[in-house]
Amino acid sequence: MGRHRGRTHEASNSGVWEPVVTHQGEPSIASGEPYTAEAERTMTANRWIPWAFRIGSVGVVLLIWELYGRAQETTLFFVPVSSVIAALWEQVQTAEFWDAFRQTFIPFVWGWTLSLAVGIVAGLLIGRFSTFDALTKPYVTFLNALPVSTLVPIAVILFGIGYASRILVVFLFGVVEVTLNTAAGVRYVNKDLVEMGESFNASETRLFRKVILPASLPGIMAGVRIGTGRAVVGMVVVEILLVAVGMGRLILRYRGRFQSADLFAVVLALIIFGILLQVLARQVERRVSKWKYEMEQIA
Amino acid sequence: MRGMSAKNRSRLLSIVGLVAGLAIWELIGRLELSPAFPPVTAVLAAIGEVWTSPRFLDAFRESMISIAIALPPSIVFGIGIGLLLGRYRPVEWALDPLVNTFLSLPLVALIPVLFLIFGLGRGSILATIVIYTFFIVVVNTAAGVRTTDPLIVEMATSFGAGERQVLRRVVLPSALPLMFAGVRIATGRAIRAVIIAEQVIGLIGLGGLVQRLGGAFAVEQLYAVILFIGFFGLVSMEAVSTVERRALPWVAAPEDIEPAFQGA
Amino acid sequence: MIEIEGIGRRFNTRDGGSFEALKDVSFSVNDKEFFSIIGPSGCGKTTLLKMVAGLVKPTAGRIDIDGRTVIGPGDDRAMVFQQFVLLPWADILTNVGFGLELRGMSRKESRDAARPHLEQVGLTRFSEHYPHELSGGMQQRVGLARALAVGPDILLMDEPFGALDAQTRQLMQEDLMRLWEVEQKTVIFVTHSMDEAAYLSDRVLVMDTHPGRVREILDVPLPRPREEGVRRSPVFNELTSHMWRELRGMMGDPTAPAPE
Repeated sequence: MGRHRGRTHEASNSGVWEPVVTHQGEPSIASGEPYTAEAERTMTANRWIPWAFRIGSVGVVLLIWELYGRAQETTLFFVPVSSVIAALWEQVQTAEFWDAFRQTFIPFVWGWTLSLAVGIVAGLLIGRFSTFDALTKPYVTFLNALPVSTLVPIAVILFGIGYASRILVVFLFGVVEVTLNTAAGVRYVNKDLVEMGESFNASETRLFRKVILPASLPGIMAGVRIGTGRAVVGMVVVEILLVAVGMGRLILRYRGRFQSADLFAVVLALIIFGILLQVLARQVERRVSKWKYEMEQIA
Repeated sequence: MRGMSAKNRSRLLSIVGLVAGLAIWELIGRLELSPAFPPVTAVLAAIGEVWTSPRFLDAFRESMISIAIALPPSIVFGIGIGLLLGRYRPVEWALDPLVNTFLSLPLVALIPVLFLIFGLGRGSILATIVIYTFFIVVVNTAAGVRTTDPLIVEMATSFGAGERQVLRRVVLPSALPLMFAGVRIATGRAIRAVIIAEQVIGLIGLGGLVQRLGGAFAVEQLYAVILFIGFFGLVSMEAVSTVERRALPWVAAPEDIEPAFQGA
Repeated sequence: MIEIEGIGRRFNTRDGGSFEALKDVSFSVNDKEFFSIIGPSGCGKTTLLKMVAGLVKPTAGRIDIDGRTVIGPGDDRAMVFQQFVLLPWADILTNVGFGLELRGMSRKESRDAARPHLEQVGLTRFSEHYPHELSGGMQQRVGLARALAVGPDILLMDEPFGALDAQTRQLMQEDLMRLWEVEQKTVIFVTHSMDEAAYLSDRVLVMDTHPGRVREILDVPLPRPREEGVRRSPVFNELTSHMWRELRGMMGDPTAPAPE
């Protein structure tokens, strides 16, 4: 940094202060990019080491599974992963499998949709109106703390073992999380945005539709994602507690006959279904909340 | 109502909501609209009877025994692994995919598998509790470790602290808030786990009791048990929260980490 | 003309007591006047502005605009906020039209109506961009365009340049002056900066604090339109020095609570 000189002047409208430049700075290597070949090599090497570990560990687990499975004297209890994959591959080619899946899937879809619809509406009301929040708090808190599987017998007494009780169970599993997350999304809307909307004399409905709702969307989508996960849990709970139809029936049969590979296969199918749904929900959430993520990158 | 502070007003409204709901339930029950909704008064009467019956107390004891056997080791190991995972990158790379996989799938689906492997007995129940709680403790502990301020570690090292001292005096205290959160969440999940596993077996514990009462259409008693389970869950979480607050007076509630399939 | 008569505002405090944020504030603002309010932190100037906007109700006194008492927000007034408060999920053009949308226009119509105002602030190029892609100064221009788009008679500006750096701030002041000369709106402008108040206004209200009240109203005898060197003129310096002396005298008590 060199000394700088300048001419000062009296405080008046005329007169100009001229800066005198004595030192020119150098462009800085501030971009973070490697600027030598060696740095470049080290950075690429560092990038694939974690991936090597990750793939390695999954591989090791699968290998152990396979070896331990093969080491079993009987296939009654534990089977190697290859058998499971083979069994699954065979099953998905049978009509019986897809029939069972359909019988499981239909009540799930109904219950899931219902839990989203009711949950979002309830969440909006609870988040927006503190009165409604206070009135429903005892129920929501209790339902959130209760293992919902205990309500399955009640559903059965109410609706029998058909679709209706299954839909109810899936609904009950999903609705609480959707409600809570939606309410949080609404409650934590930036107050400045609401005030700005009010300053333009917007009616309650317009304020809600154009400011509060869009601003709560990330919270709502989080609720949808988590609620979906819960609904899938509900679906599986139904399958293992109300075993008359669907995948539950398959599970019961294979367990009874100790057809372990087939049992594992059905379980794997359910797990894959659950994971796929989660991935989908996460993608949708990301797309809808894009503006929020981008904002947070900058902040 | 105007003179009341906001907090008291909302408390009052909650009580009003509760009473109103119970009144509606009572009405539905009296009208005998469905066997699934007995009048509240009948349920309250059943509570007195059920909560003191030996059958119920035995079932409760059974469930508690399972939790007492499975939860503490699960937490201890979970914390141990979580500490390693949070502190050492290679461990993170190796175990992270496994832990995350278990957190993103519906653990309920594994129950039939566990039952196949461990049989229809307490073993499966314990295994269920373990898978429900272990990973969540790991993940929260690891996250807690990651909140350790590297500057504080650097400062400690500059004063001559070795790895073990750093772990004990810097990393561990930093990780405590999220660790406690993990324990709190695990407690709730342990209750869910033991209940669902017992429901699948259908014979022992509170879960088994629920299934049997349901099968016998003993609705009032069923509700009495359900209410107990719900309140017990609430009370346990509150208890852990209180311990948490006492142990960590310097903390404002951090973000908890919850898995994709809640209560799964 | 805006008449503020005997305005008072009390807040209830957490421990059951009450706190008087504003006491017996009275003054008037003429049509097409640029009127600034300056005062130490906590003097209630933002609360006062929000009262004119209709967002906060006084606990004493009233505000009349052209003879009609203010009871809530209205079409004749629009606000510009210190934190810009743009919609992060909407693009710039939609943001400018948002005031119109809130008053019932369809999105398409409001976007069309917004275009000339976006051009007024020189940001037509950015109509499809998003707020987080713009600098602070640009975002505030959008906020200003949004307020102008609803065609208010009165602009209420709450420390609009407070979140900007010093250089951007000065540019914005000059742009605001140019715009105001064209638009000829009544402006009530809340600020912390004496330079800003002197540069922009026709009159400046200096507020006292604890409780907030009128200390004095100063005329700003600087020629319009404002010239480049006006900040260095003796009159300007006199004015800002006077304001500083007043304000400095008021800032003696740091322990009193702030109402905002």
